[in-house]
Amino acid sequence: MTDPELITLILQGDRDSFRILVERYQQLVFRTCMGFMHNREDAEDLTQDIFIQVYRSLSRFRGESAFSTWLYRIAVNASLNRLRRSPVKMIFEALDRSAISVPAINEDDPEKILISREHAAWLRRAVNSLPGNQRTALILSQYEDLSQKEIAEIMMKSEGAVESLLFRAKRNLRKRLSSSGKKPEDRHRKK
Amino acid sequence: MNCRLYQKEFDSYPDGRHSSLTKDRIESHLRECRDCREFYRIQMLAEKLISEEKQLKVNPFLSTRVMQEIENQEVLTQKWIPGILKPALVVLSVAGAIFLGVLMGSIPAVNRGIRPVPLELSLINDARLESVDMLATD
Repeated sequence: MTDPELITLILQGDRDSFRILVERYQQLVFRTCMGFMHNREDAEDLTQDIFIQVYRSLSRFRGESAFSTWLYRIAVNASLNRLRRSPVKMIFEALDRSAISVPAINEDDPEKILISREHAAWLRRAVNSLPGNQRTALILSQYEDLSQKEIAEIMMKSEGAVESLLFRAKRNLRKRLSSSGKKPEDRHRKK
Repeated sequence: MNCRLYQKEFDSYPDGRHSSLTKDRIESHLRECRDCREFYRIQMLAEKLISEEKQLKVNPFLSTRVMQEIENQEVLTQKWIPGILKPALVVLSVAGAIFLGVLMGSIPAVNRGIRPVPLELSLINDARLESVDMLATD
């Protein structure tokens, strides 16, 4: 069943169709949220909130763009709003969690695991310090593997503007990664 | 290829795909330049960490959680609306009735299609009129 068919059924009150829509897009929304939150629990909570918001505002979807584009817009705005809500709290929470919540690491050496965790926290801090537009373009490009054209449609910008945003995001990310002091393994090497 | 050109080259390829010729030149430059090696290492590390985050799978029960939350919120809304609306409806009905009464009373009798009571009749003291019951007993 296509997205428009599902949406028509949902608007007629068929709740099971909404479950199908959630199952179809939950990984997409979760990945986008992970790009912003860098934490599984936060990303899942946010994904849940986004789908509830989608359910409530589905009647406002006019079908001018693909449903996925509309969904990406909601996901990006909700993520940025969540981060804006309490930036200081989010930074401290992210720092706290960075020590316990990291992607799967296939290492046996505790020092390598520690370095890998610190690398993850180091990268997250650098990504989170990027301006909102650059961060959004970078996350949609790197986490969702979207083309510049698709990103432009989601962000309602020209392709040229997105190309420029991606270029600046990468340059700024590199600057932040190189200027944020010694890298984790260098600190451990001195010990 | 100098460092600036190399880094520009790298940035302009978001997905990291290069032609074999460019790839050879990049690799050759990386062997010679420590700074670019470091830059490349950071870039690769960032890509590795992003790729690890991307591989995380969403909780398979997320859709159930979403549907449950929607149901809870709807039940809450259904409970909440009558709870507030019932007293509000009573208050509104009473206020409406009073308002209509006042409005009807303030409209002149002529406008309501009722023939006005003549002045002499309005001056009759009802209390002093003889009771019909008394007439009947007489």
